[in-house]
This record gives sequence, structure tokens and C-alpha cells, in this order.
Amino acid sequence: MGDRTAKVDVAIVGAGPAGLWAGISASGAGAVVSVIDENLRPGGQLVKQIHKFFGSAQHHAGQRGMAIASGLYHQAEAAGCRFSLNRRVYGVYGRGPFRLAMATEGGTEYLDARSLILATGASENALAFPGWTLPGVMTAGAIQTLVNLQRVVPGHRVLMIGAGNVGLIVSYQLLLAGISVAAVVDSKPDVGGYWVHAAKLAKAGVPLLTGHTILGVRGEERVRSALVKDLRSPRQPVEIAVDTVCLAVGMTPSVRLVSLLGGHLVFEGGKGGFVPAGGETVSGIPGLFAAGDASGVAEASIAMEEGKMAGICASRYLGLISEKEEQEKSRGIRETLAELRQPVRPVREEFSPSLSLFSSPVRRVIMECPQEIPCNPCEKNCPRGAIKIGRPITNRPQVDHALCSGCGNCVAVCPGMACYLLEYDRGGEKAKLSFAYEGWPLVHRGDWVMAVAGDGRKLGRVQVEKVKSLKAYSATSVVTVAAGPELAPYIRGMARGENG
Amino acid sequence: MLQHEGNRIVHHPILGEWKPRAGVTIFYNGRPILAQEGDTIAAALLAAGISVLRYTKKRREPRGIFCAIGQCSDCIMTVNGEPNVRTCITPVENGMKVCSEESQWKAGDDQF
Amino acid sequence: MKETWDVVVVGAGMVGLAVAYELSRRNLRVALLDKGGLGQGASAANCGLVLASDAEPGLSRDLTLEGFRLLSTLSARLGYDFEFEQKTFLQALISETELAEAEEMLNGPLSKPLHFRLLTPEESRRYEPYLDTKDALAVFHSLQAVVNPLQLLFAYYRAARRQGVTWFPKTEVRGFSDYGNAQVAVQTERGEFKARKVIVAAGAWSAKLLSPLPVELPMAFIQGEAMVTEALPSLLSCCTGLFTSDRIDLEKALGADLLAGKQSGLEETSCLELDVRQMQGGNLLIGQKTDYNSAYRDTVSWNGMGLMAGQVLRWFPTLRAVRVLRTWVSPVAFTPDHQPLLGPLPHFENIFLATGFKSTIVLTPIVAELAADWACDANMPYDLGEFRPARFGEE
Repeated sequence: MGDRTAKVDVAIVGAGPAGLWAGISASGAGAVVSVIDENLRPGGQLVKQIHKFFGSAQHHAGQRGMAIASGLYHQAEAAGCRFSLNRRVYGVYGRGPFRLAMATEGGTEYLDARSLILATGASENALAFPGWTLPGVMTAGAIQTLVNLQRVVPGHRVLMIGAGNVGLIVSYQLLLAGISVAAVVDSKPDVGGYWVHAAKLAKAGVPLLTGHTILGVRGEERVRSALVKDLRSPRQPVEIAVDTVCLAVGMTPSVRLVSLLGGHLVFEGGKGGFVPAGGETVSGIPGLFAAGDASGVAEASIAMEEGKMAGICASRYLGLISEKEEQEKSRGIRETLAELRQPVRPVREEFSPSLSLFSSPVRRVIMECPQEIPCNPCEKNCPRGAIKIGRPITNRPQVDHALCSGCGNCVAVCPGMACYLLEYDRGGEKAKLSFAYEGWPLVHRGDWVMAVAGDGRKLGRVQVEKVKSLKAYSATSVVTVAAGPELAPYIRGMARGENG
Repeated sequence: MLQHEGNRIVHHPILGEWKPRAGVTIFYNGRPILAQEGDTIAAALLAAGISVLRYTKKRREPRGIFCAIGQCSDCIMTVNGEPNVRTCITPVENGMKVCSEESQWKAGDDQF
Repeated sequence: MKETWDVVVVGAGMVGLAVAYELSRRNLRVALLDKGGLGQGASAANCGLVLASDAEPGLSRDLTLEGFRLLSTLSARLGYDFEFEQKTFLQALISETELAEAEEMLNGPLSKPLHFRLLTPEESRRYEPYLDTKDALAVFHSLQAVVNPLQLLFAYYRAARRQGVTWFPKTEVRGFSDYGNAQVAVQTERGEFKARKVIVAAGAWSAKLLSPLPVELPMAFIQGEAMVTEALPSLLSCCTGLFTSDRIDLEKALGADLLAGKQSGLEETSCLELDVRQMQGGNLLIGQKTDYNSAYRDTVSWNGMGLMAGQVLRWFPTLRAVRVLRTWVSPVAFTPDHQPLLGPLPHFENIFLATGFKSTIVLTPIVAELAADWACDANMPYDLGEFRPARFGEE
């Protein structure tokens, strides 16, 4: 093997959700595909995600990121993709074919590809403030790597900077790992991420300090405290004792390879910075495509659709599919993308029972799902068809309470853990409330637990009447507690570590 | 009831119980540290309670894990004699000698 | 406690705070005591209605009208806005009996000052466009007022403190003794307070508090329940409710039982008096379901919440999805003849009792002035004989 240069039809840089779907889609059209990634494991950031994803069944909604990663990897392998892991693409020479130079442990390898799909993802932004270089200040990605992959405690009390989806999700992941979150700080007046993610934290009593900013951290060898200022108040900043400050302040698309090839970049603030002009088809460079966060930071479901699209475009470029086939295949994707890319407006919702809920003592599904987010596992998993979302997928769920059998599937599968079941016995004399619980230690029937309201307020001790944990619920349990009918409508969960 | 043993997350509601892997010993500035196969160097040190991985040459400021994906080079250390190794993405090996960079400095290093 | 006070006021609710404020205006040294903190009984848990329409003829009506007048200018005197506002009250009439009763009221002495009118359902919707009047024969209109009870409480507290009232929270009274030299000693868990005079304004707890003294006070608890919803954009401009409730009949029966010293057979009986209004912050305040209980309780009842929610949706179906933020229950003192206990205790002429008001807020300013007059031995503009606490044991 004198010539170490392999030849493929399509090279894909990045084995995250976009890259894996690009591979599945191009291989399906008959292309010889190589997927390259600098990490030892494929899956990109999915491998660190232990929360359930939003979206529809086709985007693996309700599954946890780590499961989605291995599922997509096996699917891509079965489709015939070859994987070159632990390789870092540091250069691309020539355009026809693209010659990729990859740094490996054994030296440089080259790969010639007729078409190139860049699914290089995004890199996390940093935020500079006095003391930001101290050990203990780290990015959200670092926290996820340490907690979810290495299973090492990064710190015992964390201040989260950024109330976007990443900041909210990582805060929740910290709680799952038994690490306390002192507060989530964001300078914007509203929570930027999905409200249901924020609600999980609120239930756990984590303060969401919107309209606040971090002024700096104090400490010698490690963070000891952080100074947080209310932007709307003339008062002095407060000092919060924490040993870790986590930065979740947005991401910037990784577009260096586009620059290397002389591709045109345009600045789009909503997508995280400079992105390749032309969307999935990088304008000006035939055969070069971009997908996923590299073409604009967004949700994983969008990255998957963009990956599929890039695979189809590359197949068409290579002449593997006809123009008609391309149009047929891409129409559905474009429709889905249009649905998924709907902007989600921030809401300020009070999560308390409504007057109509008080007025009629029957079984009720309570759905605290105020935003139009693309998600429908509740609809798909209801055996009686009592929940309707339909299309577009961003519709809010409508419940026909008369059809509900009380199975609790919606409670278990809702990725936002925003579904509750309220039931009454004997004409409203006794009540039960079921909520989704992910926590350690596990709870058991007969335990007394501290019930909490949607804002984390402690409501009182209640007894667990039932714990339903099915394999299909994937580590989520549906916990049913018995409580007085005046209390039950307010219960939204239980305090962690306070049962027994 | 705690979910942690030392700095290791042993009980996790989603990831399940921690299954210890084969133990390896690395040497941090000559001091033996028990780690587990599959740990990165930086994670093994953090699990042992070491969060300062190096000091900057000029201003002697401490640095620890920042990005944990090999991008920021805050975590570089000298590993088996090789300088500037990104410890956050380098797996541990039995007998590995890990030194913080300041222990390798010679007099006058901070002058330029 | 070596100090001697001019007056010790027991109870830091609406009445106690107002009394302390009036006393301090007359340059008296005042100690204000409470077993808890500010407004822990009905003072912080009520609908803030300044009601004059249900005052009974006689002293009650005179005091009510005077109180109403005082309250409308109180905010300027206290230097604090407690959200006093004149408000249109609409009460749905659903039976011929109610209609007849309402027509009688139109000719009564309160009709003019309170702007009593009878509206057709259609007319009432000009006042409250979201009111669904399909169940109403007519709607009774009156012009009364509302306040934010928490703010009123705080307004009095702030003014009283500024004028030098000394405040002793968490100071539970254990008993009273005659100290000679016309002084009373109030025993508390924090020691003894000596004073020339004592004013007890402990609401529903007054009877228990005075139980060490050989005074017969027939009092019972009424528990009022209410709910507060999330803040909404401006939606309701009136205070809307039902015209009558079963409360009057129940109160009569309970009063008779209390006088006879019988265990009331009416426990667990409840009735609904609906009133819905929007507060200045946008939240809706929905009250109030009342029941009779001898024991104090601190949780609302499901039945009460259901009754209130059902009635609100009957009159305002548009509020279906409005969320209930909190609910509360408050203990209210109840007397057999629905008249307050206002005046010095029999045999203990330097202890003055002020409790048992049917509509407390409207009476608070005038009651405070009368109590202060009494403490100064000044002439009172009214003869309080009708309300003297001793009246029940005398027959």
C-alpha cells in the first residue's frame, strides 16, 4: 500500500446527528461514503445527552441522546458507511476531487472524495469576566463530558450562566447526577430555552435569575464564589458560594474548513455567527455541502433533516439520483424543516390548576405545555387517541378527557416532563396525582415523600401510592401520590433526596 | 444516600450504577493515583481531587479543565516526557507519568 | 418588663394596628403584642371588600357609614396607597324572592348613599361585558369600595411605627391580672406588660385569649375560603357576586345554638357568597365560601374550591382556563346576634374588647377612633351600649 490515499464518493466530516444522517442518506443512494470524526466514538454531542429529546418519532423523540447516537451509528454502518474515527481533518486540498488531510496517531492520512459534506458542528462560546480562567469555570460541554461520560463530579455546587436550552438541560443533568445548581443566570429578561426545561428546574427549586449577569468569580486556586448582579436593580451584586461556574452562552458554527476552501461566509446572528452562504449547498464550490450546526446552530432534529438533505444533494451532484428523485426526496424534508424552524416565542406562564379543573372532579390530564415546540410523543403514545396534536407538529396538545383511560403513558414519555394525571375517588373526596420522576434514590410504594409545586414550593408530605416503571419508559418512573383534593392539583413532583 | 463516592458519580437514575473498570495507576508529579481504564487523564486527576492542572508561565495563574474536548489547551501537561499533551482527551495508561508543566520549568523560563 | 405603658394592644391584625395607630396619634405610649406576626388571621386573608350594604339598622349602620367616609380619605392620612377604590358591585338576582327583597332595599335608607339600582341583565353587561347573565332575573347595582387588605394592613403598621408604637411580635398573652393603682398587668411568654388600659383585638382568637377571665363570651369560628388567580389583563371592572346566600339562615340557627350553649349541629355546613373582582395587580380574587367549625383549620376544602370555581364559571364562562395561584382559609369571629363585641369587659373596666365585626374593613377606622377615645377617657360620639360584650349574659 504505497499510496495511502483512499478514494470515496462522499466524505463526511463530523459523525454527529447531521453527519450520520448524511451518511445514511448518501449510502442509501449507492454512494461510497466515509465518515470522519476526531473523537473515539461517533455520535457527536449526542453521546453526552442523557435527557429525552423533543420532536417526532422520526427524530427519535422521547429517546435519550446517547441512545439516538448508537442507533444512528448502527443504521449508518448497516447502510454501508465507513467510519474513520480519531482523525482530525486539518486541511483540504483541491476541489475536484477534494483531498482531505487527516492527522492520526500514526501520522497524516489522505482521502480523496468527489463530494464533501461538512457536518463539523459548532464550538462553544466563552464568556470573559474577572476570574474566568480559574479552575472551576468550564463550558457546558465540559460539564457534560465529565458528568455523563467520565462520571466524575466537576464540583458540588454549580452556577449556570445561560438560560438557553443548553444551560437548562445541563442544569437538569447536574441535578440527576446529585450535584446542586445554585441558580441559572441569564442577562435576558426571559428564559431563552424551552419553558418545559425551565419548569423541570423550577420544580427542583433552582432559582432562574433572568435579567441578571455574572460580574466575576472569586477564589485563589479554584472558584469559591461568584458575584451576580440584578440588571434591573440599583442594588449591590450578591455573592453566591459556588465551586463551579458553567458557561452555556451559545455556540458558534465551526466553519474553518469552508474558509480553507475559499467558500463564502455570511453572518447570521440567529444561527450563531458566520455560516456558509447558500445553505446546504455551499455556494460557489460545486460538490461541497454543509449540514447541522456547521450551517447554523439549531436543534438536533433540524441537524438530522439537514444531514438527510445534504446526502441527497451530494447524491444528485454525483449523478446517483435523477433530478426528479431529488425533488421527490427533498420535498418532505423541506416541509419538515419549515415546521421545525418555526421560532419558539418565550412565555411567562403560571403553572397552577385552572378554574375549570377545580369545578369538575373527573380524571384530568394536565398538560403544562405552553409553547409551540415541535414535539408529539404524547400524541403518539396515547393508546386511546385522547391527545391530538396533528400537523404542524408545533401545535399544542388538545386533550379529550373523556377518552382518557388513565394509563399514564403521556406522563412517562413527555420529554418535558410536563404531563400530569389528576384523578379523584369517591366524587372528589380523595385525589391522586401522577408525575414523571427521574431521580435517585428510587421511590417505592408506601414511601412518604415531600410533594412540591411547579415553582419548587414544598407542599407537604404525601404517600406514594404507585410507581410505574416500564422498560419503554426508559428510566423514567410514573409516580402516583395520594393527597387531599385541595392539594393534589398543585403537586408537580417531589423533592429530590427527601423521601423515606 | 449520597449519589457520589469521593468524586465519582456511582448512582445515577438514568445511567445506572457505576461499573468500575480495570484499575490503572498513573503518577502525578511522582505521586501514584488510582484511575480507571477509560478515564481521561484530566478526569482521573479531578476524581482524585486535583483541579489545578498547571500554572501559566508568566503570571503563575492556575488553570484547570475548561472545554474538555481538546479545543482550549487549558489542560495541557507533560505526559511521559512529552510536553503540551491535552489531558482532557488523552486516556490514562498504566504507569503513565503525568507532570504539571511548572515542575519542568528551568530557571528563567518566565523571563520571555 | 419594668416599663409601664399607657395602653397595651393585643392583636396585630387590621383592628389592632388601627387602634395602635389612633392611640399613638393621641400621644400615648403603646405596646402592640401578637402571638405571631402581622395580620396572621383574617386580616391578610379576606377579599378586601368595603361593604356597607349589609349593615343592620341602628348603631351598626351609623358606624358603617362613618367608617366608609373615614376610609375614603385614610390613604392620604396614612401617607400610603392601599388601593382604595370605589367599585360597582353587581349582584345577580336569581329568584322572585330575591327580586322582592332587592326592591325593598331600593327604598331603604342606604339606597341613596350607596347608589342602589336594579339593572336588567342587558344593562349589567354594560358594566361587566364578560358577565353571562342568562341565569339572572335582574342585577342589583351598588357603589361601594374595595381595598388591598395587605396594603391597608401595612399602611397602618407603617404609620403606627412612625408614631412610636412599640411592636412585640411572637408574644403570646397568657393572662391578665389587676395590678392596683388602676393598672392591668398582661402576662406573656416574654414577661409582664403593665398598662393603664388594655385593648383586645384578637379576632377569632379573642374568646380563647380572654378565657382566663371569668367572662362569658359566646363566640364561634366561621371559616372563609377564597382563591386568587394569575394576573390577567384588565378584564373585570366590577365586583360581581350573588345577591343572597343561605348564610343568613345558617347564621341565625348557629347564633341560637351558641346562645343556648349547645354544641352546634351545623358543623360541616357551608354556604357560598360569591364575589369576584380583579385587583389592581391584575389577579382575580374569588371569595368566599363559608362554613362553621368549632376548630381552627388551616387547609381549604375541596368542596369549597369546587363551589366557588363552579359559580365563577357560571357567571364568567370565559375564565375557564384561568389558573388558580393560591387559595386560603381564614378564621372569622362570629357572635350570636351578628353584632360586634365592642366595649369594656364586665368587671374588668380597663380591658376593652373590639372584635366580632361582620364587615371589618369598613368599620376599622371608626372602631379605632372609638377605642382610642375610650383609652383617653374622652367622650365618645356614639353610645356603644348595643355592642357591649356583657350583653349576652344579662337576660
